[in-house]
Amino acid sequence: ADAGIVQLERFVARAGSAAGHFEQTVMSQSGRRPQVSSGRFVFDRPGRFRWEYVKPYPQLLVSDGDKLWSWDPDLNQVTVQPIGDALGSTPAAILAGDGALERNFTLIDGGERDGLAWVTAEPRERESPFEIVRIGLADGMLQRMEMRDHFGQTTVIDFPDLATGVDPDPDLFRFVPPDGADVLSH
Amino acid sequence: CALQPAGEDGAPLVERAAIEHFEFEGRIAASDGQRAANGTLQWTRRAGYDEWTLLSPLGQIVARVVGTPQGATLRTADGRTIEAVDVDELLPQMLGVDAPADHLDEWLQARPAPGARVIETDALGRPTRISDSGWLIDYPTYADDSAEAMPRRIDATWGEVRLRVVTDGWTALP
Repeated sequence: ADAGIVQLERFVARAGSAAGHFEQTVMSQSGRRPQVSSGRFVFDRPGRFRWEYVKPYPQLLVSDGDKLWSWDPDLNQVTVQPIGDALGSTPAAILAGDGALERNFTLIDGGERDGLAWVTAEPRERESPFEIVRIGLADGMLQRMEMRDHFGQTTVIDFPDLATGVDPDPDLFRFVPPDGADVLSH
Repeated sequence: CALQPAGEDGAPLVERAAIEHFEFEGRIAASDGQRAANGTLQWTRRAGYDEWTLLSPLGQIVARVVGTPQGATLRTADGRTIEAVDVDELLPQMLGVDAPADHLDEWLQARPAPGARVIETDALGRPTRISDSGWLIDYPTYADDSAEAMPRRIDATWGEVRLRVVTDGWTALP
């Protein structure tokens, strides 16, 4: 199979928009039991994405390319922050950002493992929340992202059914806070 | 021990057993009118060891405060480390509000801390409002309808300052 970096370039070129389900596992260094969550995502470059957790509890993140909205129904709270600060730091933003990957990371070929071709992405700035990010691809499609932070916590996100060129409805990237919810901006 | 007087319409307060050592996890939203922080709070308490971890909505660790009898440290995602005598100075920096660190376990378990007063109880004798050092702590919902249930949602306010917690899990540790 082609090297990871070649497949990543092909994926980035092809995936102007994409959608599918994700499964996320967060493993902490302290041996705390891993936290598994799952849901749906849609993204539309540049900068627009919708990241919807369904399990274990509902959480919705929507970026319209300018602002990132985060909605937690149980807390009945919406937080809004400029996408700029969050862009390089969320996995979703790395996918949907316009060049966020190259701007925030040095990309190095990461060889083959688990049947995938890998790219190792090293943060360019020291203050990045990630220590290392690894992107696994097969047939030019994103399959898995692994991110380790400075506390030794590893987040693995699998994309079992990612489809590209989905031409998403623009309303998916608009968020109107439900009435009665607290809206707090950073 | 003497039962405290019942709130207006609630049953007499039922004494609640404390969980001394635990792993707690819940979502937290803190605001002081200007700044706001939200995410998931993980708290591990063992004998002589407290570790609070704040994670972003996407599961990235934002900050971690560790407290032991020897002192306390706050580490942030971008690698900064701050030392202090105890956690009382550091926890507010992580949570974004000045919640009293040493009463937090009582708040989360709906037990009146020393000096706090239960103002209202529900039909099962569980606190629905506690007043503690200027804070008002409301317990709108509990995890289930047993007397010893843990609160599901905790709304603490102190003037403009507000701390809201939704409990996701308690694990008692030996």
